Amino acid sequence: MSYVGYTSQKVKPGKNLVLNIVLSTDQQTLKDVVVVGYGTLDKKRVTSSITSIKGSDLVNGLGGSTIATALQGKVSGLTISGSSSPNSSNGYQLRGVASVNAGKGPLVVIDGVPGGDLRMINQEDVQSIDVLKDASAGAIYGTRAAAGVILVTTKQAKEGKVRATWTTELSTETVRKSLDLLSSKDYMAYGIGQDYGYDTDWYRQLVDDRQLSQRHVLSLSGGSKNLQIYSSLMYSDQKGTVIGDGRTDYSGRMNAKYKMMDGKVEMSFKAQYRQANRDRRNGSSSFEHVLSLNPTIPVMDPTNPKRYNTTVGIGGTTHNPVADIELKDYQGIDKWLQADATLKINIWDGLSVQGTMGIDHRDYQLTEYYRQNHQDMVESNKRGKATHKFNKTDNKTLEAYASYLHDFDQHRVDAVAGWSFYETGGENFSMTNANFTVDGIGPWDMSSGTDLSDGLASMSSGKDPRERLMSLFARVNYDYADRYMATASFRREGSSKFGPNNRWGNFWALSAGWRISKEDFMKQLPWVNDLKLRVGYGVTGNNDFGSGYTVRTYKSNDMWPTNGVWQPGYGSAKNNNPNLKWEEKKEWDFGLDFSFLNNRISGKFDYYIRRVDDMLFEVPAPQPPMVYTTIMSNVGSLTNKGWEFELTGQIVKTKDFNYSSTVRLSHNTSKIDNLGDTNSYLYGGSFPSSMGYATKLVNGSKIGQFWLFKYAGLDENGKWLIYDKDNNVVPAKDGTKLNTVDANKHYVGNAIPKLIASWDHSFSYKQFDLGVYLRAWLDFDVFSQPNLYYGLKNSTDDNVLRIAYTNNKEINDTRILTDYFLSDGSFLKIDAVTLGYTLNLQKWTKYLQKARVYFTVRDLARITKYQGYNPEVSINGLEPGFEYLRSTSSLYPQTIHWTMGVQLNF
Amino acid sequence: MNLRNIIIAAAGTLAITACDLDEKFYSSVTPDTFYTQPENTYAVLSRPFTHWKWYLGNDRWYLQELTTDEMACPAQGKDFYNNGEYVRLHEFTWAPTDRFIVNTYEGTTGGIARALEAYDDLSKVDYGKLGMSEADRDDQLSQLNAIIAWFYMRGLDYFGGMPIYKSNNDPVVGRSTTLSSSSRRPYQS
Repeated sequence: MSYVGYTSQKVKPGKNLVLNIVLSTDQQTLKDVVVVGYGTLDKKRVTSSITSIKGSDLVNGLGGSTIATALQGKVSGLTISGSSSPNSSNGYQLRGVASVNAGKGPLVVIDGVPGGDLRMINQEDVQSIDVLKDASAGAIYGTRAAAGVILVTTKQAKEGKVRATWTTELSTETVRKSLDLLSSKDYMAYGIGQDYGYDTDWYRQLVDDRQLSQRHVLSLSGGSKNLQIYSSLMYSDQKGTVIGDGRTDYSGRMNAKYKMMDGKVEMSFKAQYRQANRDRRNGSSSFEHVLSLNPTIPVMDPTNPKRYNTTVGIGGTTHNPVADIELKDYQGIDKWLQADATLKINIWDGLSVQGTMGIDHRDYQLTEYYRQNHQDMVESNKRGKATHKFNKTDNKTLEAYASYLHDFDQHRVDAVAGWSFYETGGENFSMTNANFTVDGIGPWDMSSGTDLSDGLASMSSGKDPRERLMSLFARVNYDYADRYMATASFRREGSSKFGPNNRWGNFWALSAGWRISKEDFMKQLPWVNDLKLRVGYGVTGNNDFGSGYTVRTYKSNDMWPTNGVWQPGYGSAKNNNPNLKWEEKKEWDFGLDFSFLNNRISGKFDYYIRRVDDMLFEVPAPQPPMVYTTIMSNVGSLTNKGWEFELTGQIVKTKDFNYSSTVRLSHNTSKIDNLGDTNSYLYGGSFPSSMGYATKLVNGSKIGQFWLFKYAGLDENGKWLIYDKDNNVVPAKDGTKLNTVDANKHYVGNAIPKLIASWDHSFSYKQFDLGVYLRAWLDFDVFSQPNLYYGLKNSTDDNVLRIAYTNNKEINDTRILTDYFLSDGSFLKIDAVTLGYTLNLQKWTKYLQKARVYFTVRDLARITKYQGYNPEVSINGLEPGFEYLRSTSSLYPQTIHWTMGVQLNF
Repeated sequence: MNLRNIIIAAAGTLAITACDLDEKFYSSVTPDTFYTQPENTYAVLSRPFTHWKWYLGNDRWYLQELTTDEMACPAQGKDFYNNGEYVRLHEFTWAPTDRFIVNTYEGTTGGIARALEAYDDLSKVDYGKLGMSEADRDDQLSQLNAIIAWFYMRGLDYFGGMPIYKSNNDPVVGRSTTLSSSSRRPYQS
């Protein structure tokens, strides 16, 4: 006997004529509830593309100070950038670039309050993470959902005994891959520069591995019928693998739920505070100094070994990176406070109204102090320099909506309608003073520096324009016999960033599902447990650009003497465009959900095509008549196309041994259809040392194409040969004729992997569990800036990478922007291996339920043929695929992270 | 259902009180509230002059000096090569995308645009209301005309045939002269 959604049973007919067979709804995939905007939905009724992850499915012990590490590879189509530094910032991108005004990540909604910050969230507090990928799912969030929505639901206590969970993790890191620079011996053998008589491996000097990091989390939950409370406390101390990099975090959360008036009135209060104290003395230039410094220069002063060397072989634009870090303070404190209260009234069965008020406060405080013997101070003849910087953002959210659920016969109607208001604003100030009497006080006696009385100190402050969003929204789900289902949603939203004429936008979505497996003709295929076809179309908006573009304002500039008094000049702040309107994204999503063979194999496939119109970005403006050279406009469009595939198999399912595996594959291409005018273009970032640009987006560009000179070999003297615009081989520099001009650049390569794959394996044998997580990016190119700037022999005394005298030894020319420095970045990485043992303690004590001991290794190995250092560069945004020189993220040591953890359940 | 009514009333009140979707500015001012004292007119007058102060140094110096026989900026060790941009100035092989050229063109047109903006804004100010005379007004507008002329003079020297604007309300215009062989750089090989 079998039925969709239920486990099969074999029943032997006995003597009784009446058989009572109770089928158990064992299958997890159909029972699950998915969090959608303003409510939840049974997973089986979902008609759009949503990926749900349970908090308990996230791997423990991965380290990392945010949840980004645990999310990596778990959602197909979601790419996360970052490094193994505890201070790494992470960028999220779903289904490719959502807007040309880049940096736009998915909207984060924490416990129903939009606009949250994922950095605040503790892995242990997560009940579930639901990612709304397509526009039909996201449209209920209207304007901010253009890049997808990540909904985080934190844990809610259940009625019953008080349960406690204590987790302790100890971890350390070892370096897996270092930069391969010339040693002092090789440096001298090649006669690159002067011999200062020492042997210094500058990269090793910066590395500080095998440090002990720790993390402790305590969570408590429990309650009575009318009051349930979940609370947690977290402390974490994460050491970086380079000196001057580390962070300490504290966090507390309290989720309380009250019921009054026989359950008619429900109130919930949620609050979290988190603080991160960051040591960020290690900066983006530290690694560049490591690359360039002569390895015969001593770290410590030869005449006084207790002091750092800041003179021997060092000066001008070079720094001793160790001295730079050790002779300054650079402390950042991040604080997050989020609190929200919800009042819900159950009017009658199926109808409820609720109102939520949420506040979200974030601030960042930076204190910086350069000691008197820091090279910058010695060279600028200052006795110490101190800086304070502070900025904060306050978000307020008010929402109210009514929900209605009604079942009749085979029909189900589920509807929600409401109103939402959001306001945000920020403030900042900073001050700098120098020339202090004593170093010991650091930045904590700002007024005592004499730069203030000398008129050289500086200060600044600013307050962002008030930004508001207001909207009305509604959604209806209809379901007939679990066979046919449809969802419609609508949101009308107004934003203060637009002028009064274009302020309001309408965003809507329609989606439908057909559960084919419920049709009669499918009965002959009993191995098909579930088969559902989904189609969705939706329109979402984007207003992700700065404020103050539609209204003309004056801003102060430099001082000028007028009538004997110095006062700042005032002029317009930027070019204004009162006709700005919403950028719109229209997306189709075609999906198939399936489950076969007693639900042993399940998965889904999604194909999407989305088009972004009226893109908001700054385009060149004629000056005059405009005052500035760029103006914010609605120009052009881009298209993303791609597919995602997820397959889970319960391969072995026995009493003692279980093995399940999940494969996730995704592919995306993004194309700029047009940028307005036929000759419009958009440059990427400018390369250091006036090397120009390596990306130039024009009409029809594919995102991920590089714009470089095409390498055509070398002439007999080792000088560059390139293909010119007509594909003739020409020297890069022909006498005084320069062929390295923009006209001769070609579009080459592809920075977006053709296939992004992750492959999870989970084994369990009796009390043991083992997880192996693999991830691969296939067929894509990465441009290595370190190889361009430090991979060639040159006439300076800079140290170079070993490849300058091996792979690149034939090259005898100055650097040019060529695809020679582009190489295939394809890699396969063992993201994590985790082994655990769970001990049932109830046999011995009634107070302890169980203990799990686990050992997790992160970033164990990577197989790649990439010619640079780290192929896992950012593939988000408009200029993906660059390994940068002046970036902590690109050149940070690649490490293996080892963790021992214990989790006790009381 | 009293509570429901309260909620609906509260939500309604919030909807009404919070429906002001105008931007509110804190670190900048809208021009209509700006002119309250005579000093404010001078502050707007001086904006093109602070630009002028910046314009006098920087890239203009490189264009004026490094293109002469008496001065060059050779590479020194790892510094000052910068992909050949200084060498190109000396060899007269600069590209229109070189930053000195771009910055100088935009610096010149930026000076003109800022002066035209100040002229436009100050023309609309009621000087009498601020306790100022017609002579004050003429004095300020004349200073702006002078600096517009000065920026055009520099622009003509560097680029020739600058597009001429008399107001920021003018439509976009092209070069005032066509690029003939005589206006090209003289010593190109």
